[in-house]
Amino acid sequence: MAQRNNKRSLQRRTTVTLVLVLLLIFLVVGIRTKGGWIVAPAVRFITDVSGAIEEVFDIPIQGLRHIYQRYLHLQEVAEENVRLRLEIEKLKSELVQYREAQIENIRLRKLLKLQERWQLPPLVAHVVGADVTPWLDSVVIDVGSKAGVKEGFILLAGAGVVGQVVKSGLFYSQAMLISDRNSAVAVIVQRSRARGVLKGQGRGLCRLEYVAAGADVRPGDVVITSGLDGIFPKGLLVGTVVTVGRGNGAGGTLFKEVVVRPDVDLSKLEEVLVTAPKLPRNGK
Amino acid sequence: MRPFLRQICLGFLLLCLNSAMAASVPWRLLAVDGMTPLVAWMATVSMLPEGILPVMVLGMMADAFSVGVGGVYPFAFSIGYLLARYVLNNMSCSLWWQQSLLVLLVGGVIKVLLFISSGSLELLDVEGMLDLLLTAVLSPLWFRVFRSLAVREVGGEEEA
Repeated sequence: MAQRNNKRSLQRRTTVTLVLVLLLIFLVVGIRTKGGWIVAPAVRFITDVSGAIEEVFDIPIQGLRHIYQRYLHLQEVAEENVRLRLEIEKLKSELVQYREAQIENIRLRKLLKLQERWQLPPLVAHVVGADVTPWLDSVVIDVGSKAGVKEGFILLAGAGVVGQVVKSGLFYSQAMLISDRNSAVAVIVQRSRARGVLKGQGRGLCRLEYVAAGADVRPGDVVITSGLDGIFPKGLLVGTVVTVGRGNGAGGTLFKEVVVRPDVDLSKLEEVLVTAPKLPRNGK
Repeated sequence: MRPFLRQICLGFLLLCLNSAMAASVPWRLLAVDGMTPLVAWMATVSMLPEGILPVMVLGMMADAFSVGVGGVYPFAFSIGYLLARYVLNNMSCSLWWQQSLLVLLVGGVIKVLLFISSGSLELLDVEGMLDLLLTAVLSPLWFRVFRSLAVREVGGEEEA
């Protein structure tokens, strides 16, 4: 009799434990998904603390990386040097033309009273970490709200668009890259002015979506921001069209399938420029 | 309380290391993952119900390191932990290949949940599987590291 009672008690305890554990899981997941504001300060704190530790870890990793790049790839560097010298000569001549165009552009902008409305001058930030989920493309940068960086600020590297800040701590921020599957940027093809939405595809590539089947898009075309998303200013370099195909699925006959390679190599980011997003035209 | 905090600190440092390394490794889908072996390890040393708490805290911390959907990591880690506990209640996993198989199973469930949540399930085939195999092969080493760092059970009973 006593043995039976013990068995029943054990079964009851196991059931209660399982129910409690399940309730706990759903409570935690519920807080993270619907009640983000409750845990937001904790997440910000973790971003700050982890950023500092990642920076420390990053020192020996960068050291090893530099040794690898400087000593083991000397041959590659020499070849690259020759290629870059030739490219510099070519770019110098192009620069003269661009300066002329820039002066003309400034003059016209003054005439039309169209000014770029940046809230802050760009800040230089170093990449100290990346997303722990390998197939999501985000980076941790060493500037946070203390330096004026907020969620929604944009990241640039060289002449190209890199991404957008999604979490901002006091000293560190996390930014989603344009190659992340959750990223979307309004763009146009510079040559034909065909519009589309640039979505991340992972693996450092992007997909140009909602490009009409009849639009004139060819491999090698330069893609720039259109400014229609209200975040990225118009005219920033995004990337180059790699392949153009006929879309699959339901919208296959309506839209083209265009793959774009970002101008900036997102897997080798070290420094980025961070600046405020584009303001609406009324300046508010 | 001390083993609980030790597990959390170890997980946090692993996340920092993963994040710092991920920024420098070009082929990111084959990253060295220490978190899945840690979840499986915690299942071997911590009983229910208190053992699931540090796993959830680790999941919430992992969430802070990712731009993915909030709440997925605590969910995936908890499911992984519960699965490992179920397996361990029915069989012993003391040999290295048994630990590898346990991590393969737990890692598979965690990875599938994370892939589904980010809409990237197609990545499971080839890269995800290769990453899973790499994690499973390396897991006995991770277990040895965790054992040497004396990450012990929350409930009081040490690993068999």
